[in-house]
Amino acid sequence: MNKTLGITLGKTATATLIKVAIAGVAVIGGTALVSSSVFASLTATATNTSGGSVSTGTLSLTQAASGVAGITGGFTTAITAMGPGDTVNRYINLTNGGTLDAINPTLSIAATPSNALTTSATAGIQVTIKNCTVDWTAAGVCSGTQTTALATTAASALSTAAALTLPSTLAGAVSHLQIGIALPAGTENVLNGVLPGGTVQGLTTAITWTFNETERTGTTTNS
Amino acid sequence: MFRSKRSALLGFCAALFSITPLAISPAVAAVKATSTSPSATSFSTGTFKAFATATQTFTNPLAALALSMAANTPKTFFIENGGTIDQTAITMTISLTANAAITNVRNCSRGVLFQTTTTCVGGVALTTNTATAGVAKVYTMSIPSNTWYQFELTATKNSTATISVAVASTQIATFTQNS
Repeated sequence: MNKTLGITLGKTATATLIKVAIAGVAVIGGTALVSSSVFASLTATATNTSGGSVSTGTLSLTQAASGVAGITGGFTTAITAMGPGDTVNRYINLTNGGTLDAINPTLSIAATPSNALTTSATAGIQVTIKNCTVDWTAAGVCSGTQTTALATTAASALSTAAALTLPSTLAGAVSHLQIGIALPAGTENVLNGVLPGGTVQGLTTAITWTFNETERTGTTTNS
Repeated sequence: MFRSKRSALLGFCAALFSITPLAISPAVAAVKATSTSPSATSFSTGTFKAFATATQTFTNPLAALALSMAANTPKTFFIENGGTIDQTAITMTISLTANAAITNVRNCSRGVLFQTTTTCVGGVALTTNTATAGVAKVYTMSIPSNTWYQFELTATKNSTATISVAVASTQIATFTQNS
């Protein structure tokens, strides 16, 4: 029997009190342990010692008139006095000057004002594009390999982009293009100086040429 | 299929999130390069017009030429290219009233006048053509823009000649130019 603080407790009560005290200490201690473990967790970090450089490529498409003497007219020199059956060939170098390969080259045109030259599929302007692996000569001869980039197509159909078939659109590739601009022979008949209705004679339009290409399909590299 | 509306909604949202990126991201990611001509190409067409006139003026009459003919008396007229495109031939139809017939149709060289009814200035050779009244006849001759030929018509009777001139798109000089 203990006699403390003037309170007398039996043996059983004393044992119970001790157990409660121990349990309380255990709970508090456990909580402290758990709490301290949150703050004490270890962190490991691995950083590359040299910079992991990430850079992106570029996609760039440019056009320039041929530099071959005699065929430098390009798209900027006017074409005048065309008649049915006439063809004017202009020479353009189309360059993928970026660092990325490209796909799906296209051509579209816009004409102002719009008239029979660019609205008539049969009597209006026809465009044919050929590619040469080297510069065209001034006489319009390809001394390399010649391919058709665009089969004869009415200008009226080029208001929406038409696909071009080019041998290469890889980065740095240059397409040496011959742009054939023609008027079909037609069936117009002028009687006593009177032009027929719907004639393609005596018309003027200004054509803007737009080439497009798309970045090659994205790649996934394991390296 | 779904136990409740909530399950259906959750299923729909899950499907939306899983499909949408697949459908859209490739289009968004595609990079395009464009090259537009530095300036527009000015394009113009010419005209091919030929007509008959009594005098050489290059004034387009926009009509056939009517000539008053005296029997067996040659009368001259001009065929002119008043367009901007060179011609390689014309089609001429000469009709005569009073049941008259064409005796002959003569012409001098391009830009050369008749000196007499049977000679050309400078002794240039004269060409004699056969033609039938009312029947179209093709005259193959080079007629560059703004040039002319002088013709001479003789009919068998006093009559009125109506001279029509046509140029087809197959009767013009064409070219292929590399420039």
